[in-house]
Order: sequence, then C-alpha cells, then structure tokens
Amino acid sequence: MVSIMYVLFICIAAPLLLLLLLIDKKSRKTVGFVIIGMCVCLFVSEINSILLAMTGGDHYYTTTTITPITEELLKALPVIYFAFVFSSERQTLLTVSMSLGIGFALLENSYILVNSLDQIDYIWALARGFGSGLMHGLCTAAVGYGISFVRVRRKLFYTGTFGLLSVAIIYHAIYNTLVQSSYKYVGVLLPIITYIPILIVLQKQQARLRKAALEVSSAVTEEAEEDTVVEKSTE
Amino acid sequence: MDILSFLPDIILLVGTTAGFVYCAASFFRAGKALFLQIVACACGCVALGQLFVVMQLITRGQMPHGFHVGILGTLGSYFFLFSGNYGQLDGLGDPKTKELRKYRLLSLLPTILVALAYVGVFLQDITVQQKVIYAVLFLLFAETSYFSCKHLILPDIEDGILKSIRPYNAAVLVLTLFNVLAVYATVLDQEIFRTIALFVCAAIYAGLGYIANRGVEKWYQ
Repeated sequence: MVSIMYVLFICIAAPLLLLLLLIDKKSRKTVGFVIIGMCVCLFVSEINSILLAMTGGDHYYTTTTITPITEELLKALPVIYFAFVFSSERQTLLTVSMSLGIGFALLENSYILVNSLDQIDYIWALARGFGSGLMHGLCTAAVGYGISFVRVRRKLFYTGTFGLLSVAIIYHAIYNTLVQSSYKYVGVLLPIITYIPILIVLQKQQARLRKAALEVSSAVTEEAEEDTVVEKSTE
Repeated sequence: MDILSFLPDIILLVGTTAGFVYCAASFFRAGKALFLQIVACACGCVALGQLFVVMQLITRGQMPHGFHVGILGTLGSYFFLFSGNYGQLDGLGDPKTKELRKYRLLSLLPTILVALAYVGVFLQDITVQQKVIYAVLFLLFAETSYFSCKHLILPDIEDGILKSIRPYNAAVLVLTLFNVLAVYATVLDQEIFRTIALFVCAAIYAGLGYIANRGVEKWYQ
C-alpha cells in the first residue's frame, strides 16, 4: 500500500535536493532547512497518528493539545541543534527556523490538499497558504529568534527555551482552536495580523543597521582620504 | 454563550495582557536589567496561556478538562519568576552565612503551606493526569514562594537590592498563594473563591512589571 505522504515528500524533496547541489552556500541553508522541515512533518505525521489512536480518536483534543506540542517540539530540535553546533547569529537563526516552518507547512498543506480534493477552492487555498503556512513559519521563527537571545545568557537558557516553546505551542493551539470553530476566519487572519507588525519592526531594524554600517564606512573612507591628503602635502 | 460566567477568566486575561504590554514596551530596551525582561516574559507566558483558555471558553463554552496547553502558560510564567528570584536576586542578596539560617528556615513556611495545599488537592476525586499536572505546578509554586519569602524577610546586608525589591517579592508571594487558591477552588468547584483568586491574580499581574521596575530603579539610585 503506497503512502501518499511519502509520495508527496519524494515529489517535492527530490528536485529541491538536486537544487542544493547548484546553489550558493547561503541559499543552500534556506533550501536545506525547507527539506528538513518536510522531514520533520513526515516524522510528526507518524507520531500524531499513534497519539490520535491513544486518545481514542478524539480529533479535537489531539489537534488543540497534542499536535501543537509534538509539532513545535520536533520543529524546534533542528533549530536548537543548529544554534549550538553551527551558528547562533540572529538573522541566520531567523532564516533557517522560518524556512523549516515553511517546509513543514508545505508538505502538510500538500497532504491535506490531496485528501480534501472535494472541498478545495481558492478561499481554501488562501486560508491554508497564508494561515497555516505562515503560522508554522512564525512559530518556528519565534523559537529560532528567541534562541539567539537565550543561548548567550546561561542563567536564562533553560527557562527561556521552555518559555519560547510554550509560546509557540500555545499560539499553535490557539490557531487550531479558532480554525475548528465558527471563528475560523479570525484564526486564518491571526498569523497575518501577527506577521505584519513583526515584518515592519524587523525591516526597520535592518534599515537602522544598514544606515549605521554606511555611516561607519563613510567615516572610514573620509579618514582614509584625509590621510592621503596629508601624505601628499608632506611629499 | 454566557459571558458573565467567563468574566473571571476574561478579567485575568485583561490583567495579564496589560501587565505584559507595559513590560514589553518598557523593558526590552538597551540598558534595561535582565531581571525586568524576565518579569516581562513571565507576564507574557501567562497572558498567552490565558488567551488559550478564553478562546476555549468562547468557542466551546467550557474549560478544557485535564491537561491543556493553557497550563503551559502558568508553568512558563513560574519558571521565569523562579528564575528571576533564584538566578538574578539570590546571588546578590543572600551571602549564605550561618547567621541568616533562621530566615531561610522561616522562608519554608509558605512552601509548607503550598505542599499541604497540594496534599489537599491530591486527596480529591480527580484523575491521575490532573494529580501529576498539579504536582508539577505546585512544585514551581513552592520553589517560587520560598525565594520570594526569603528575599522579603532576609536582612539587607549586601548592597541594598533586597530592600528595594521587597514590594515585588511581596507581590509574587501573594500572587503564588492566590494561584494556589485558584487551583484549589477549581478542584473543589468553589466558584466564588475561584473568582476572588482570579481577580487578585489579574490585579497583581497587571502591576507586577511596574512594581519590579520601581524596585530596580530604587536600587540603582
């Protein structure tokens, strides 16, 4: 019996894996973590099936309590590993963790699409794409971004990591609660409402950093020019 | 949907959110003490957990039974409060000398109270899952109440930090005891006590950041 989940994984991951061999190092990290996100989704789907059976098939309880915990925990593991072994630089962690979350959502949405062919329409697509896709990305990105802070503060590391995971899990659970209720459009809009202010703040931070870097570079250039003028007048 | 029956939970959500908004706006800036950022995280965790509880009440009309992710909010909050007292203040305020042993022993009183409260909860007709969840929660309550009480009564020998932060420690101690009351009232299905406990907790969470900030500023003067 062919598992549709594994078929989808191979169809999407195979070309991405081949792409990895051709692209530059920085882009390789992004695409690599998209593939890792898909691997996590595959693994989580097996675990969630077992847990659903253990809760006696209580779909609502599983989706609002169990799956947020398993999914966020397992998505966080590669990010924490990367932070400890490779780099805990903030922008890098933000990129890889968001990529992982998006990769997870990519496979999840594809699987749900294949299993719900009679229910799909453009509204469904927008809801899954901008709702669920963004939610998974944001939850993992929050953990990744936060790890860059707590990683360097030894006393805060354990409580900080627990706090970050709690925030991601509870946010995910709130989303799942809303989309299964009569307020499902509030649930779908929730990740977008969260994403926009975060995007604005991050863009402003990056603009400030670019401006500061430009000022430093101009100051260094001016000093170098002055030195050249002094040297020439001495000659 | 009877909003009035959810009012205590909504008030707690409003209080914790107000506390978090104040903390987030004031403490995540350059030069602000890590201790204050920890207090902000504590308020944020409990606010998000309470948001989940309120969402469940609005969409399903009832509190989730047994374990639910809203409990992670309270757990996370108390991890941060404990970490703030133990990790940040204890090293500065307690010189660990024999002369101060009597204060450390006296500080065990709220811890014993919390432990006795857990025994009372354990003996009620609740599921094993609930007993385990409350055990973890009460353990955090006990640890936090010990350090809050200790930093409240310990004479300020070192450099003035304990004296300036006493109102904060008093607030955390009262918050912990009312959180214990809230759990007890939930288990015994005593709505009035639960309402009182949640209202007090909401008020304390709303002002916790401000109280902590006043204490830290006083210490720096």
